[in-house]
Amino acid sequence: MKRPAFLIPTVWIAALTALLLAALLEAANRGYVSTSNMDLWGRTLLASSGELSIQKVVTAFPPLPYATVLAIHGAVPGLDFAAPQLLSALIASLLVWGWYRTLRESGFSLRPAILAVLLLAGSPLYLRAVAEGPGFMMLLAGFWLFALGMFQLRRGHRVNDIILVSTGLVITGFSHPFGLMLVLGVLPFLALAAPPDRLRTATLAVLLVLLFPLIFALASFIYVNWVFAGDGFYFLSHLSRETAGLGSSNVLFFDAGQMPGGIVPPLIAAMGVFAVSPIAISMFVLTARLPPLRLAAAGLIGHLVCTMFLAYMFGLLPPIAAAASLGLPLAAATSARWPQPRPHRSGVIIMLLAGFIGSWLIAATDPASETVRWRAALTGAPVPSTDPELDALAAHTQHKDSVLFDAEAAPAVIALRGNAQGIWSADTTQFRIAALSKTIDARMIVVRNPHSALGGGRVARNFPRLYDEGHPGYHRLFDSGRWRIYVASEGERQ
Amino acid sequence: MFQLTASDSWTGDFLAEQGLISLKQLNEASDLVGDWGSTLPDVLLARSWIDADVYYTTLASRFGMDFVRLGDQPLDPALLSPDLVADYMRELTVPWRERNGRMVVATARPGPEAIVFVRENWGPSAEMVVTSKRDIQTAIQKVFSEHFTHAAVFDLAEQDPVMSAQTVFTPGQLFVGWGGITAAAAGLALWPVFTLIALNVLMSIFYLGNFVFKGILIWAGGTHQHIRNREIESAVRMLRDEDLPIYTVLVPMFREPDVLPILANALRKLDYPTSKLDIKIVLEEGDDETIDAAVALGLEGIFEIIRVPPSQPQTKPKACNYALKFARGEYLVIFDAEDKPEPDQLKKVVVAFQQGGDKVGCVQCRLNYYNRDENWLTRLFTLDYALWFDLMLPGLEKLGVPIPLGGTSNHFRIDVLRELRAWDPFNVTEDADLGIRMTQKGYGVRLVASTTFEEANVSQSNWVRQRSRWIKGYMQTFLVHSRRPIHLWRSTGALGVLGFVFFIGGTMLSGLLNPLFWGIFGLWAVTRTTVFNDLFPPVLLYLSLFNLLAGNGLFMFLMMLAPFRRNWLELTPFSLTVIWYWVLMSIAAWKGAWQLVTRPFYWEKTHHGLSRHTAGEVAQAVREQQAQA
Repeated sequence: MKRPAFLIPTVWIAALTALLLAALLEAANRGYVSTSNMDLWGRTLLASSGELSIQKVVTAFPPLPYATVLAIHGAVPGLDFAAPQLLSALIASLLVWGWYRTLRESGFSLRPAILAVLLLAGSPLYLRAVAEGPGFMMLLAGFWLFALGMFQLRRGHRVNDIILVSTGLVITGFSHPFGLMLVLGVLPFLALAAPPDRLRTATLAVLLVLLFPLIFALASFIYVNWVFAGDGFYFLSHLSRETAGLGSSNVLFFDAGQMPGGIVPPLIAAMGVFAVSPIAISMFVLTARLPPLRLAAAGLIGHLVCTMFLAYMFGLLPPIAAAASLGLPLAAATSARWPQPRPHRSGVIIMLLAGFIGSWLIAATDPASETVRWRAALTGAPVPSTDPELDALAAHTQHKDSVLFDAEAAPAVIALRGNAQGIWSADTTQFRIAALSKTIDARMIVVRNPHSALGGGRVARNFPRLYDEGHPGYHRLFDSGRWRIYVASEGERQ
Repeated sequence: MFQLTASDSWTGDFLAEQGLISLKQLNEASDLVGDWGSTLPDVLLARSWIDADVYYTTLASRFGMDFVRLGDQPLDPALLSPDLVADYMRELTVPWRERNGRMVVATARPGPEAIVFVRENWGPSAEMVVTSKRDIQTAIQKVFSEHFTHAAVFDLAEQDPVMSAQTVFTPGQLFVGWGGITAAAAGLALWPVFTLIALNVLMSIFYLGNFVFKGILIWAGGTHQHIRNREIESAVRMLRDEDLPIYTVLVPMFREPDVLPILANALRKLDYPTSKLDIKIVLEEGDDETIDAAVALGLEGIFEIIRVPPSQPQTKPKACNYALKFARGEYLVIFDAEDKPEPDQLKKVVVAFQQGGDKVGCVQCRLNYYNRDENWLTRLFTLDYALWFDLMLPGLEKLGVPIPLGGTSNHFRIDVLRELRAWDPFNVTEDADLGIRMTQKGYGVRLVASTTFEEANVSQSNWVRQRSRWIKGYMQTFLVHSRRPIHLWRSTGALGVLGFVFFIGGTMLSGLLNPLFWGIFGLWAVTRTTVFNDLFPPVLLYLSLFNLLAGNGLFMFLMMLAPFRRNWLELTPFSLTVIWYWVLMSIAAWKGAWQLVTRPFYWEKTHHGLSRHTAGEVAQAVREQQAQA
């Protein structure tokens, strides 16, 4: 009987997904879950329990991981917290399979292809990216598609390469806030990879076709924001550090105050990319007689450097271990498009090995809090909490009913609680009634300090003196300087 | 100078000796024989350097035979066999009468080949007389006109009725349609909001599936295409003229005398030995203006004119079915009158058939337009065609989904075509139907990257007429092939059914549904009315908005990709105006749907020759022919 062609890939992808998922769950068991994953899962719980209005759901940025996790949770609610982890593992596995397939299609024989993929997927930065969450994995996948298309665009003139570039940009832009920076940074470098004959005859048309999906998708998202939230740029004003994978700590690289002019952090991030992907630099150096490849390599390298500075300017530069992991899809695409037609491809393997060593160095030295926690989980050391205050809020509100809490301002609390039951978030009827009548009949009130960096949230906005003075019939249960919990006094409630 | 065959050499010398042609004419004609791959008599007659009557009379006298005019002395129809028609036409030899117990055979090409043919079929005792080529062609068509006309119209309907569009709706289809409408009506009466939401969800899912499927098609079609093109091109270089098979070219025309020079010129430019081309200009018997124009251009010397007797339905497929009876090629292609096929097309197709094996029944070439820059409509039409032929059809081929053939430049293995009973004369997109039928009967369709350039419609009303016929034809095709869904599933597979539903059904259904959604969206966007709130709960509103935005965006993007391969990027910005093109398509869809009910077999004629480019093409063709003369 003939074996279906999809059987072997399916088995491998399923096995790898299971392996990665097990690793992620073990890390969670040791206390490590990335803040972006906590944030995503918290918002998923809020949306699926109806605590978040559809307006908030459809205007949330980035939409791709959120919508996908929501769909998975809706389809298989029993997965619970494993849903985002599963998605992350699945994308990672598909990406690994994609790397393998493109290497094989470009002439790699079996062993070198497997070895190359092992050096890429076995990189600690890849595991770090998987642990970061589905949004970041989508970002890597989008960037890989984009890089593949860029290398081939100038040589092949196939529509598939245009599709790769333009689809890659859409996926990148809508998976992660850092992706927005990536698509913003691409503009000056697209022309390097575009076919010169077409560029000569119709420059604007070439740029239009490459950028149209991104522009149209962005315009559509702005329109959806306008329809549902009344403000086209609502999503930008609701971007959180957690969603962007920045963690709760301000320590990203080194003490930024000692750096001259803020140039060094993005420079280090860019150098990190090249430490992970020396093969891209080699491609540029060694392809003097192959202008299409050389220009594409130059375009991709320039694009990443530019993006690091841009992201730093907008405060969206992730930890170096995450930022440098972009070098992995770049290395994968470069390997697949490597011009040397030898069956064993020893040069490629050596450069991937160098990148593998580079990624170990970065993973071992990145001082960002998220990477420190991840490293601790990996080595079996105690994992510090990302935000002890949120842990405390979750503990105090767990199994409690009638909790007035602007949970959208701290979705991680919902994730830590495990569900949104009993929460009266800002989109619920109870919250609105309380806001309109200025009376509260909740058992518990959670309010953020209006003087904190992020402001007081909607609870404090509706009850301006609540944080400082409390509320009649309620006494203070918890005070962390950033958050306070007031609980109804039993006698008053009766 | 080209080396004439012994027979042609002798004929030329004889005619020159008799003073019927000059030596200069003989030399020029000899060159043209080489250029055209034709015979010396055909060149002399085509150039009108010798009168046909004089030529044939002289020929008869040289061989010591009688010369007969079949118009005055008709042949005995009882002696002719319908199975041998292609042979009669190829050899230009036909049984005439029985005289004194011996068969007398009329030939327009006396010589060794004719003698062998006569002996093989009627024995060594048969006598021969000479007649003209035109007399033979006319006489055969006359004898078989009634028989062939009936077959052209009813062959498929009688032999394979379930595959014929003669019955528009079967009782089963009417029952299902009635059931669906009744259920919807009952739902609207009992649970109006729920029913409307359910219908809305169904349509949204359909839209989503439609554009995802088309996106996949384009991706699949783009992979490995260049490699295959290169393989075919190198195989073409290995072909030897003497190994090439006879190729029948059908050119159905109706009231298009003006574009004949384009056709004649384009066919002469084909890189294929003319002696192996069996070109038939298929004209309706009453279409005197085109017939006269063809005769005036001297086309009869090279091309054969088939006059299709009047009968209903008066459609192109019926005319082609009729002409097919006279075809003598191994392969057959259809070109429209104003078509300009790339010269290498036939050779590429021969290679594709050879590489594809016996189960490849058809090769479809690409179509596009030579007047793309004429106005907005021609630009959009060009984008549409580039999307269809350059991107989507290769995707269908790659995924093994049945391919609806395009209007022209589809090349057939003639035995397969006859086995399938050719085109359905009741279907107004007979080619699309034949493509699906072919797959169901176990034959494949391949694509070849050779383009035939046509005249794009320059007028919106003319375009709507043409498109309404296409969409009506798609509806007929969908109805015919959805009669037996299980059979369709078994013969084309799950992907085939999916492709059929989205590619044939999706094309017509989206045209019908779009105005409804545009209307609701426009009304809501402008007035911000809350009337639709019940029908569009937030989740559905988001899904509908997503479909509207993502769907339109994706199709615009696909339109932008379409001209990339041909480097016609100046057309790309016009993709942004495609919305009006879709409006025209919806008008055509509704017109087609209305006609499906009221005049299902009516053939909306597309008027050609309206383009100013076509006038230029005609002028150029005439100039080139004069230069040759």
